[in-house]
Amino acid sequence: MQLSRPLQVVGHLVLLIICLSILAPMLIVVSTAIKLPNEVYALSLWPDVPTLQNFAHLFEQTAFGRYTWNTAGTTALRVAGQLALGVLAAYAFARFTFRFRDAIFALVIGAMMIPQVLTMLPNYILMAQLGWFDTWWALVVPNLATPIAIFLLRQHMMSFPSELIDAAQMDGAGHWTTLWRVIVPNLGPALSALTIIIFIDSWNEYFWPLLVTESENSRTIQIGLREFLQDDQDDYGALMAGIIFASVPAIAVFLFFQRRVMDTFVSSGLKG
Amino acid sequence: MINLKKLCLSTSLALGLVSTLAGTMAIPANARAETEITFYHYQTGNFKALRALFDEFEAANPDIKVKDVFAQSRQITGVLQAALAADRPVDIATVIGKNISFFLNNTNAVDMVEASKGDTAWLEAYLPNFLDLGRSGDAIYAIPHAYGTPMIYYNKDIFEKAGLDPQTPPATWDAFLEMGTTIMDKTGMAGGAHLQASMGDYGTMVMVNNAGATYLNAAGTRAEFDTPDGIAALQNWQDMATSGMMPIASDKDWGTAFMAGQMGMYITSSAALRGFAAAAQDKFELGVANYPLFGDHPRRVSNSGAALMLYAPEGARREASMALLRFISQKPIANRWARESGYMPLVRDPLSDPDMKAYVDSFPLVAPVIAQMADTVPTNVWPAKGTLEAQTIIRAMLDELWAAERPAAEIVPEAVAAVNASLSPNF
Amino acid sequence: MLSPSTGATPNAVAPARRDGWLVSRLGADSALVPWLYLAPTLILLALFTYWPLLQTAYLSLVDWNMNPSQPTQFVGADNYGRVFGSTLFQTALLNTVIYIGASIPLKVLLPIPVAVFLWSLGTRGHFYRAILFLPTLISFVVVGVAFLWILNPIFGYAKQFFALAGYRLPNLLADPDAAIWVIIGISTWKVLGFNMLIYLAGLASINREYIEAMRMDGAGDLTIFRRLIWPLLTPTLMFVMISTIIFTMQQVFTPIDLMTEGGPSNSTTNLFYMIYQYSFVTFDVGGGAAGTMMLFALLMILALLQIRLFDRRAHYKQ
Repeated sequence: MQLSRPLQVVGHLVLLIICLSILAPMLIVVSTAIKLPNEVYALSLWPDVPTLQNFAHLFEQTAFGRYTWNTAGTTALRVAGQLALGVLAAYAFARFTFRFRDAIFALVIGAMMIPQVLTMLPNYILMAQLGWFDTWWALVVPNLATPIAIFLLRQHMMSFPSELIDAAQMDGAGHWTTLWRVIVPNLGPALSALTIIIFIDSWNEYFWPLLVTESENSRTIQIGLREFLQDDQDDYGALMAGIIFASVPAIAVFLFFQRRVMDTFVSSGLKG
Repeated sequence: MINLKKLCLSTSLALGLVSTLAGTMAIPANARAETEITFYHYQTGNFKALRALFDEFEAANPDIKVKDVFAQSRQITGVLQAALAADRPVDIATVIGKNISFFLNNTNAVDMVEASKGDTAWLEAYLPNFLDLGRSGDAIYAIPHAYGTPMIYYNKDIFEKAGLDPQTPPATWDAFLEMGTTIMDKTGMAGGAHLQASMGDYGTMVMVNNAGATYLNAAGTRAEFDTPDGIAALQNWQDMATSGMMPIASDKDWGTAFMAGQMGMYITSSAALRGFAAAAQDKFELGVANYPLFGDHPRRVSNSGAALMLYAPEGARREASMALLRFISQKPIANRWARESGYMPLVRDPLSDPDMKAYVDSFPLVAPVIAQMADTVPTNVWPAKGTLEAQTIIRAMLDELWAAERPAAEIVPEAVAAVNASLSPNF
Repeated sequence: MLSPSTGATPNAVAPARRDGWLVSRLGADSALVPWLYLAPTLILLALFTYWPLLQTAYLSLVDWNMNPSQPTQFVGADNYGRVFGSTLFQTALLNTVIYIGASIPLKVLLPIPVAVFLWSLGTRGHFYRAILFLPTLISFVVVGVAFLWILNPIFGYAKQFFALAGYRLPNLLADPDAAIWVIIGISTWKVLGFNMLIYLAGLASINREYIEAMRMDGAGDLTIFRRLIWPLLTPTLMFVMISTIIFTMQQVFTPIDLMTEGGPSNSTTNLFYMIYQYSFVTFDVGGGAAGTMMLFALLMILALLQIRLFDRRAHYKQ
């Protein structure tokens, strides 16, 4: 679609302003990461003595490599697990009529509204009892049910044409085969969008990992970063170096996939 | 099976070592089997120094392992509360001073006097006023560990620019206000500020107590600073705002501005000394002075920071934990911790230790901190209920004071009454 | 169906029959089948969401701080009365409403024109997209620190910038009327790119031929937007609205904690932050639990409102 000329100019102008407002704080982050402690608080964006010592510091002082591995590993497991369980539950809601269906759907969606701060202490005690404390289990399993994924996937499955399903089942395919062979391959855009949502959620999670991890067995990047934030002893140089280190993979993944994600969106589209 | 073998091996090894170690560390034989104790802490920049203490202790006690668990200072109390509620192993816990009362009332902390089984000499090492925070009758539930005390930090370059003598920092609140105003008038830079709420209501507490008023009663259930002294101290804070010498901002803003060389004076914890010195290096000359006096009242500064509490259950873990506490309480070790961490020294007469003396000579900025040890009073502790409301009322009181639409004499009594109303469920 | 494109299918076919295939195919033995598909989700939700909810409900009615060896005392509605009566709760409730209210125009509606413009750019918009999505990928902690430096009232970048223009920037974070808008602004900054991406995905399902057809008929940009794009975007809008409200409730925690701690004069606190303070800062478990239950009630009301709205739409669809 071609917008009219004046609208195009306005659009580019507004977007450039927004982009600048996004890049300005990012610039501060990058410049602080290469500053020595006595320049961190100076306004100039390019330090007199640029340094990489903050990055070295990052690995000297914390097990940052391990933290990164824990974050990446649990995030991958969560994305896979949350999508799989979401697909299953959404299929049940979208394609079956059964007793209490609407009530149960309301309960599932209602769970979306229950803030995590509420469930944190009881869940912590449960983790301790299960022996999952300080393991990946504690980071992954309690998060596997994802109401928002169920909600979104159900919408998509409901608008999925029944003829295709009928045809598949005419050929003798059961529910299981139909779901994974016919429906899921066509959910690309929705699954991509959910992947991004879950990925970001898991990558940036802070409170729950803080409670249930205590060593490099399972500590995640976000906890590692806060080790540099302490009343009176903030080490902003290392914090900023850490965030760059932690974000580069995420940004790389996004830049690499955004085209593909967009293309799949373009070819089929995500509909609420 | 392997574990059992290991256990037997280590036990026999340990038995062999008993005779050699018994004289130095005096650990009862029942602590000989390999024991792991869990130490909760919030040290980040100082973690290496803390871990070095543990490593040295482990080397001297090969059958004890010290497991360190980190939680950020803002969250450590919540993490501890959860760990205790879930019955996870907690042997020694770093507890923020103002929360001690909560831990005493709601957890099963161990009395260290009782746990010492008559041999309490190790506790004598600490400055008696530092132990007061954890004292309850004859019992001691907390020992000092990561204490700070508020100091005046000042920028000597700015002093010079403003025509003030960089060797004469303000000794009183009147001088602080006057010099801050001079700095603002002469240089256009921010004059000075006093920390407020980075640790809840700590700033208000220090200012009021130092002016001879009583912030909270001993039980921590009633605010009592609506006296003439308390009101005068807070009126002074309002004057700092109205004079313009103190830009209205947050602790983080002030700290940042001070470190950037944009503010003349800033009063905050001695724990910030290291960071300030690093930020000032090659940029400006840093000065440190004692907390300003209010009128003719003697200096009374509440400690900030955290103490250690004991939770180890009776048996091997308790013995091992006590051994660690005794170890870190020895004067040379405690002093080394103070030097390497930047926290206040904790033991009596620290300068009689030659290493400490050498340190102060090489880093004279720390001398006023040591001088202020004797003026330290225990931080006020809050009860369990209504604390959040009370602290937010006090924070809002500061905002109203600085907005200066009414004098402190009107604002403070109202705030105190509101604080006491919100603390009333504790009776 | 309003949607002209059948979206998820590569080869669109005739309009869907609704339930026919199901009825004809379901045998008597398959009553169990949906439950099998639901079982993992339901078990996890029961265990990690609803059971803790019941425990919290219990904690809100007793005087107990979770010490296993301490007796619990039933106090009825005392905790509720105490929390509800405090000005802190009342301010937090009001602020929560402001946060949600402000987030609808800023976070839900504002990204729409941005997305439409990007969409009109086609593949040439990749550059913008990548930058717009950056804030989503960066941890809020760092964003908070960077903004604190920008906004530092003594010498921050913003102050210097405005000073060049001869304007004296007031200390926004110290002003009870302005601080909440700083937090709202920063959280908008954080979520804008994400919501824009979701809208772009929604826009992608719109058949561009319709637009060309409308343009041939002489329709302007605004008409196309009002008559075609907006109606087709409303399902996506519902989704963005729900996720944004949840985001606003929870994620805004970090900037509050880092930048204002709820102040000045409680002007930036919200219910979520208040509960955190009760439960994790002052360890008033009963107060925290009571606050949590009241927040839960508020969220359920919001959810019901949304479901009603959604149902109306669903009927309209059929």
